[in-house]
Amino acid sequence: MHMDILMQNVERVRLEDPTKFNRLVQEGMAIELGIIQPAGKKEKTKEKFIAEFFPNDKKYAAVAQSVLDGKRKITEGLVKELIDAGKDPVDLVTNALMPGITVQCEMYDAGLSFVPEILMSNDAMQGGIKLCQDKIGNVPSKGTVVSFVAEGDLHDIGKNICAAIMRANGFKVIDIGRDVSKDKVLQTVKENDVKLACGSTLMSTTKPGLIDTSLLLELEKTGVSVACGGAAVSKAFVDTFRNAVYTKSPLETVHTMEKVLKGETWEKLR
Amino acid sequence: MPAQGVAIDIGTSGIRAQLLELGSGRVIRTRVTSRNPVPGANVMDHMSFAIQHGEKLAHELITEACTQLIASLQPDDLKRIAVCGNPIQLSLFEGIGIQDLAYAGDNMIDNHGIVRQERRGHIINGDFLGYPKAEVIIPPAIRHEIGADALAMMVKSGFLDDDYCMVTDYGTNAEMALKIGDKIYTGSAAAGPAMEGQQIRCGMLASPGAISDLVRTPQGWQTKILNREMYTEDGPIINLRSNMARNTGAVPKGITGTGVVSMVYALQQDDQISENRMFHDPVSITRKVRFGIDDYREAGKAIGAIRAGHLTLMLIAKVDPRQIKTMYMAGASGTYVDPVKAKHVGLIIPYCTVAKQVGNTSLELAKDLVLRPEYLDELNEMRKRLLTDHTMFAASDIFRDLYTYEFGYWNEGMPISRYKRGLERYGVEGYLDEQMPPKVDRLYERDIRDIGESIETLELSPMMTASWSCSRCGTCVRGCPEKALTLEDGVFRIRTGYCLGTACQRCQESCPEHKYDYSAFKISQPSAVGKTPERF
Ligand code: B12
Ligand code: SF4
Ligand code: SF4
Repeated sequence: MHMDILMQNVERVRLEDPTKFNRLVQEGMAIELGIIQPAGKKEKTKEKFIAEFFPNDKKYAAVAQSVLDGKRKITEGLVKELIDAGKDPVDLVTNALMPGITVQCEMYDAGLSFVPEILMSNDAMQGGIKLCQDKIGNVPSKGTVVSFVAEGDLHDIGKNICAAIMRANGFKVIDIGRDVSKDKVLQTVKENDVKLACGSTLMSTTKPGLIDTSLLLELEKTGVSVACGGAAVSKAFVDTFRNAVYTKSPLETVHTMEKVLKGETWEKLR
Repeated sequence: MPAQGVAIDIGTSGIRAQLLELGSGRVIRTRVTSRNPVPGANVMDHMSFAIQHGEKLAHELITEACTQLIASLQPDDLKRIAVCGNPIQLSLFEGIGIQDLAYAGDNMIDNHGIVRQERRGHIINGDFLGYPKAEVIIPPAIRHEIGADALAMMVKSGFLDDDYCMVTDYGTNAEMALKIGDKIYTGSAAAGPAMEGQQIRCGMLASPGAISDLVRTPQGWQTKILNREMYTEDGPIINLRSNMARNTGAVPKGITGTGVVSMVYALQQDDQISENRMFHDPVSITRKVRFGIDDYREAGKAIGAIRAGHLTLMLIAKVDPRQIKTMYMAGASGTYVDPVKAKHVGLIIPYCTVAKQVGNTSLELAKDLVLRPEYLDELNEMRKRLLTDHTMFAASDIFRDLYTYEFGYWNEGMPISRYKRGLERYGVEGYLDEQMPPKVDRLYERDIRDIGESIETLELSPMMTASWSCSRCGTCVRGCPEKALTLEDGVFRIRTGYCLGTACQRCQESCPEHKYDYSAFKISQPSAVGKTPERF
């Protein structure tokens, strides 16, 4: 930083809040005064995460790496080879595919990777999982959610991000797309062992779809609540109807799902 | 005396009307309002007002405002009226359904029996405006997200006579078109109202007191503030690095769309954004006017949608972006924004060498239709042609992919290098590197090209009134942020053009007795002059 900029910073803190200034000087808090740039914050690195989560087996690690790189074709090729070599598909999912997305997700939380990369890794992992599924039917997961965008709305970028992050955290996501009617959600919930529905909308005109869906799932005694998100939705809005909780970010949805699996109800989650 | 006609442009932030002499085509005079009569600050608000409080009421408000405006032009022997605007405004004006504009997916529209309106160009009788002897020409919309206003930006900007060029309306819907030979590709990126100064903490529509630009000087960034005549004056000078402002000159009330673009530019120029944070968050221009990281992200969502839309159109057209060198900039923001800054932040295509600011094209199209009604057939023909190469960005994987990168860049602090790497897949990895400032060609000084003898901005607005029994404590009136609500002789009055509508509802929410009922309001004639409203 330039010297004059630095002094301006210091001067600003002194003028704006003299008590804070004195305290900071006494405590030697140079960072907050703007004298030193925060350093060493990036202790978390890609390498550390890889060392922590990747499998030891070379071939498994290669799968994890291709998921991390977001390479669907390569992932599929490697997984196919391993299945043909007689590896257990369930083991492949948990110990080869998942570690790749786990590292991506840890990096995302640490600000080292970003939404496009999560989506690409998710895509690569889905390719691999599909091959394993073809072999054994259902792949075990921590629990299943259904993900949808309310009827009348086509904005699905946020929903896709949310679905990818849920998958990266070990949940199975049945993505039934956008412009989805409440009946379609109900049908999906009935036909699958769904624990939570994740609905979103970005338009004010389509918000009622979330209300209708939540109420229908309650009326039909499915025992499934709706986690509502998306830019048009707020806590105040969701608090006006039953059987739903507001989740601001995909990460909050992950936490909500974890609590749902522990048996918490929507009333408690609010 | 030759017969006369009136051209009207119904915009989100006001209505403009011109009296014309048929035959010679001379503009006699111009009258504008600075407000759209339907409560709400943007077109989505207008739509939700209509849906919640009745399409009929919204229709009456628009016709009432148009009638008042036409009367202020003092026409003589009025033969023809032509309007232009986006599909929502035009449908409300005409009184046809807007439900099909409120939703996007087919399921909703089919399952709920919503009528899909045709919106071809046609002619109706002027009875409903009080001019039964005049015909009213309504131009076509191409699709629901590309209306007559978008058609106007293509036909009245010079875009159609050019080649390898692009045109964009830098407004809420961000309609855009690309021309290559005979082919025209269109799309709408739905950027949101940040380009008009909304969804920004201290944002405001372009009106007196708004910061409309920031210019670098040796002392710091000189703010430019709109005055009553809508010209700019110098305001405070700010130093972004130290977050210190020198309060000189005009006092800003807020920041408008073009000011937001300049602010984003300034922050980037001074390296104030790093890893999704601002060094000083927020920066303060005055004690009340601030701009923080949330505002930066909100602006980025809109800028990103436009940048992603531009590239999507070029990729769909399979054209090398380096060949597209001319950019036509339409809409109020497109006319007044500084193209050099706009290009730097990503609002203008990178290989653009000439940026042409074209002013208000909607009014020009309406004018053409007044003078040459047979032009409507041509427009209907063009509509058919454009429909074939219209891209629904909602159905485009390319748009979705590119917008995800934009979101990462603006909202998560993703380095631009990752975005560039992502573009490799499309073979345009150098796309974001080009930073040559364009040559600026401002075709018109103000957004209305020819004002005739005079122009006046009228403070007119229709009124809604309602009445109920309550203690008259006045909380509702005092709480109205826009001073749109008054109470006199037991009658509550809302100046609808000033009311924020469904997005606000503070009057209703603040009533301690829960007596206030916004839905009870009905349109009325303006209050008699001279009456003073009760004060609280
Ligand atoms: C990109 C965009 C589009 C794209 C959508 C592409 C796609 N496949 O999704 C396109 C261009 C197609 C589009 C179209 C339209 N759009 Co649009 N669009 C936008 C824009 C610019 C960004 C939205 C976005 O994707 N944000 C990025 C994502 C990541 O954010 P997000 O969805 O909010 O998600 C985050 C959180 O909300 C949360 N989250 C999201 N979903 C979920 C789900 C769960 C379960 C959880 C927990 C969390 C969660 O996590 C995410 C990550 O942090 C906004 C304007 C803006 N400035 O925001 C308008 C906007 C949403 N669009 C709008 C409109 C009106 C439309 C149109 C109807 C316009 C028209 N006149 O035709 C059309 C409809 C579709 C059609 N017929 O083509 C309006 C909605 C207004 C309103 N309040 O009702 C907006 C706000 C713009 C505006 N003011 O005019 N749009
Ligand atoms: S409507 Fe409510 S807030 Fe307004 S004057 Fe009557 S009691 Fe007071
Ligand atoms: S307080 Fe009421 S009258 Fe005033 S702007 Fe808000 S909604 Fe309109």
